[in-house]
Amino acid sequence: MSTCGCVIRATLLLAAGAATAQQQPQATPPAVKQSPLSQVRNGREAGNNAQILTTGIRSIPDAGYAQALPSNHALIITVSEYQKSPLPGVLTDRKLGIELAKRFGVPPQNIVELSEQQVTREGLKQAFANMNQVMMPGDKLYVYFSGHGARYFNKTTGQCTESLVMQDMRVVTNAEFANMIKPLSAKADKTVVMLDSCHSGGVALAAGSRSLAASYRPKFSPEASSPQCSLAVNLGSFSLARGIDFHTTDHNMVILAAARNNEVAWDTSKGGAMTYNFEQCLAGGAADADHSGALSMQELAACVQARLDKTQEDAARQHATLAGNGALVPSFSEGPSNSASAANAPAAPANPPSPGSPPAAASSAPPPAAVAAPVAIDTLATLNDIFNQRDDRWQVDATLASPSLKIGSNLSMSVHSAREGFVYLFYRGSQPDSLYLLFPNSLDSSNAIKANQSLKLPRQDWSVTALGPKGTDYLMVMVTDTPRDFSALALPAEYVSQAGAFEKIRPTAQAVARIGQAATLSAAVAKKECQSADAKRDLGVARHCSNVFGATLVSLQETD
Amino acid sequence: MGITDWLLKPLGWLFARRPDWRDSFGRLLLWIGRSYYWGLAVVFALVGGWNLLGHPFDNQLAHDSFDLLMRQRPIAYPADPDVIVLDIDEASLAAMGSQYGRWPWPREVLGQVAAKMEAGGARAIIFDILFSDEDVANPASEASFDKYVLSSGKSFFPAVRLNPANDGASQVTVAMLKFAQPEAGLPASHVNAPRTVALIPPYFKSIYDGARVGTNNIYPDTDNVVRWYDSYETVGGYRIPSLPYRVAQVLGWPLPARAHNLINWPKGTTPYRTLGFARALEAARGSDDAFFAQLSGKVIVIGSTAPDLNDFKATPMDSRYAGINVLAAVVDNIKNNRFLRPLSPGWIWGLELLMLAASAQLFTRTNQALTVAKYFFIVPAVLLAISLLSVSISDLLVDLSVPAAVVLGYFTFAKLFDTNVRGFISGTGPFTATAQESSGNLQVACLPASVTRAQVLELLAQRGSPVKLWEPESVGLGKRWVAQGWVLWRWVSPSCATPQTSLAITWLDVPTTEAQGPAFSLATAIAGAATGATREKS
Repeated sequence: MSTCGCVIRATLLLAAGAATAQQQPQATPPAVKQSPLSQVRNGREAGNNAQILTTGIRSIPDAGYAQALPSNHALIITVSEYQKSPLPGVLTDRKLGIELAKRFGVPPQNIVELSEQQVTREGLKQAFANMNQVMMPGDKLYVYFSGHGARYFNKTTGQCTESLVMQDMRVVTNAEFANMIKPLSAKADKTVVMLDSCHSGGVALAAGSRSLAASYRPKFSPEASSPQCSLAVNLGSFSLARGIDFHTTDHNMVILAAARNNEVAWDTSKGGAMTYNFEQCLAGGAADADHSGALSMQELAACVQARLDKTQEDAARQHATLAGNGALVPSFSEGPSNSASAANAPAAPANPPSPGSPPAAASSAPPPAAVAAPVAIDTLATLNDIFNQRDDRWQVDATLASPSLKIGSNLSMSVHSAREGFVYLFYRGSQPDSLYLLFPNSLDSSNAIKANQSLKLPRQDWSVTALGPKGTDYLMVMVTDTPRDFSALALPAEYVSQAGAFEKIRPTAQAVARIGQAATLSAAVAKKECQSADAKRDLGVARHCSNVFGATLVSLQETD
Repeated sequence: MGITDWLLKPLGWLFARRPDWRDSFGRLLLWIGRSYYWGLAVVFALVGGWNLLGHPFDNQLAHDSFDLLMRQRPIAYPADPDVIVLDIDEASLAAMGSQYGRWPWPREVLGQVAAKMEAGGARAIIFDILFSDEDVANPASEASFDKYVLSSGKSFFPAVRLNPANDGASQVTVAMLKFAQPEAGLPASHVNAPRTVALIPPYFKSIYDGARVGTNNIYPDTDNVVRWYDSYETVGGYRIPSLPYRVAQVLGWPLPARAHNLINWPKGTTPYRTLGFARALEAARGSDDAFFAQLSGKVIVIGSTAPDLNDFKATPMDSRYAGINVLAAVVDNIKNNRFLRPLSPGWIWGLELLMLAASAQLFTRTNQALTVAKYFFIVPAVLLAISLLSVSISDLLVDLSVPAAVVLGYFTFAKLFDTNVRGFISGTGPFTATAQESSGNLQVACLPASVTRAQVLELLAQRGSPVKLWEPESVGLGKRWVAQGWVLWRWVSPSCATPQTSLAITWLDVPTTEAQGPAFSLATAIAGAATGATREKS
């Protein structure tokens, strides 16, 4: 490995406030001293503090946080103090990575930090092995890496190989990294991987030659790279790989990389450019572009890119790159950040997303337009959001008696599931605001289904009649490991209204976000054994508290 | 038709079908007699005492009564003009959104305004904002805010007391809390400095070192309405102050003697002078000294009423009362030593006993009871007036809702009993003769006034006796009627047996055959016959 050549000329477009810094590098402000009381365990970690009431507000809001569950796990890997080319911004990334894990619903006790000298090939292996001991099937996994990346020529394959640089300057290739995660992602319901590093040195060296401000550093290690790979665009990079590399499916994992494999990712005084902006987007900066009431990884990536576009010059711009299930929603929450996003989101798209749209390919979604008019919730997008959180290894089929339904006639369908569970049927009618939970309902609450058996719906004592207008209806069938709580307690009157035997979901941001929560979380998560950090988790508990579900989404035409 | 009559309707329906039950029940009532009223008074006294002295059956009555008093008192507690709310309101969020984005703004903004207020002579700056975590995205702003705190001598910050069940999971000991002190006068052996306590402290060491910290917890009643404020909590022998209590300690205000205090609510939902935060920031940036001069000597509470930030609590004044105003009200109450002082339950119970004794006395004096019953609604009105007066002209809360409820309850049960006894004696109400019984001959007898009440009741209580006493409406077995003698009447059938009695009774037949049409009046018939019989007898 040798130092790579500088071919791409790059500069950073610095925001107005930072323009001076280009001439006079601005030192990172000293970190404030922390109270000794907040440096030790102080009871916040213990849970069961939900009944505590105070006056006042927080200067760091709780909004945008998914419910913390013992079934969520995180590994935060950060290296700042490299032997060569240290990255001071990674110290902030470490905090932001933990913050993101909390926002994804990982309880503090399930966040494992691996930093500095601990970040070696062996350390990484050991950390993943340890995590494999505590993770149960159906859990969720979040892996975050912030540090240098590298790219070298592999004589065996004859290709450039992307890798992550350990603190001792040795590398772990992306393929090796994927192999380490495999045993975990194979049994995880969802795996989210975020890599704030880069694999190309060309831009880095060009930037270095232009004496960039001290607060901007490339997260690329020329020492660990080969010159012939500094520019290559290698589509075999695992950031573009599919879930099969991780022994799971495209749908059950998502990878967010800080840059394309011929770009540099930047380290700034606020942390990694991608990490910092992602946190800002998740905390309220992102627009709910599809008006579903929740933020997907694709929308978050679009927000990140829009922010990067504002602060980086074209030639030095990094592109946050997403692979896998871009429709994954990391946090169904009702906080003001999401509702604010909904209110400030651009106008509804002319063509709503088609049902069951495939997961995003490696791409960055276009940035949201800056329109500030409040818009209505798109209930089909909401349905898609829930549908896209399914485990697609769980086969669920819904067969309609007929692909079209005459107005005035009754719906008839059968549901088949590869696994036993509990059936939930959502219906989005031809009118945009008509989103219903059809089953279970007040006339028929027995929704258990056996594996590989068919269930005919509606049953004899209730029916669903098409009332028009003509158009396309959508039906989403969920089969869940554990029952869901759609009771009045979970869904008060401001979120749903009773429409005969069925529940009609109001098309508001808060209501659909609550529906998203209720649909994707087991009713058992309210129980102590599913919440307590002290409860011993075994397969039985994991199954009892499982949030996993399979789903299918079908459409039918309402006709005259 | 009164409520008592409605209550007795099912009884009448039952007795019409089972006259034997009717007579047995009536005799039982006579057997119990007037001791019922005193017995009932004792039961209500015990129930009221049990309720007042620690085992309330229904707190909601007292809650609702208190809320009503707070809203309706004619002279409300005046809000202290020296307490000012600096509000991060919706208008401020809108005004500052373009520069700082969504809330939370970088903390340096808060520090800038607070520093200006302090320089302008503000007496205290109380943040109703929890600084629990580091703002990792804005390190420069953090440093700036930290610098403000280090230079500040008048800022106060909240901590949050967490679930005491988590105390064991915390490593924070009470001795580590610089803002807490061992209870004065507590023996050293009772102080447990290593005792751990669960709480969310402010993140900054500068705040920790300044020790101007207190908890800002609230503990609503069972109906989720905030009425009380815990000024401090004692854990491990250490007194952990609330935020307003800590302010009082530092500024030398009189400290409330009790931990648990009833908030004296000022009138309205926005009782304190309120300034928008955006205006204050504009003044700070524009060196508008006049703006800050008006805050000299004032106690500033910084918080938010913005809808999405959700700091609203249910209080007696409003179901959505801004949390910042709750804190301001408590600061005001402590500053002016104006927490409400509820009259002790012992006193209330004493009053309850007096009213029960008076009621029992009235019911045993039958004539007076009937008169009082007509005007009994006055009692709760008088009690409410006393309560309103107490909280209007003083900080003493004399809430007489429970005594009023107890006395009303007593009256209802006593009236029911009284009505039943009267019904049995006079053969009215549920005790009216059945159609079969009243198909016989009507007879009337008069007894001289010298016959005692006990003798008459004995006659009426005899098993199988169809004899009833004629009581003109609204007049009981009182002296006025008895002075004229006793008038007895009965329906006589061929099988009717005359009860054995020591009294010499002469029964006169009352001609009713031609009069037993729809217009027939038993009372008229008896009255006419009785008048004649009395005349004949005399």
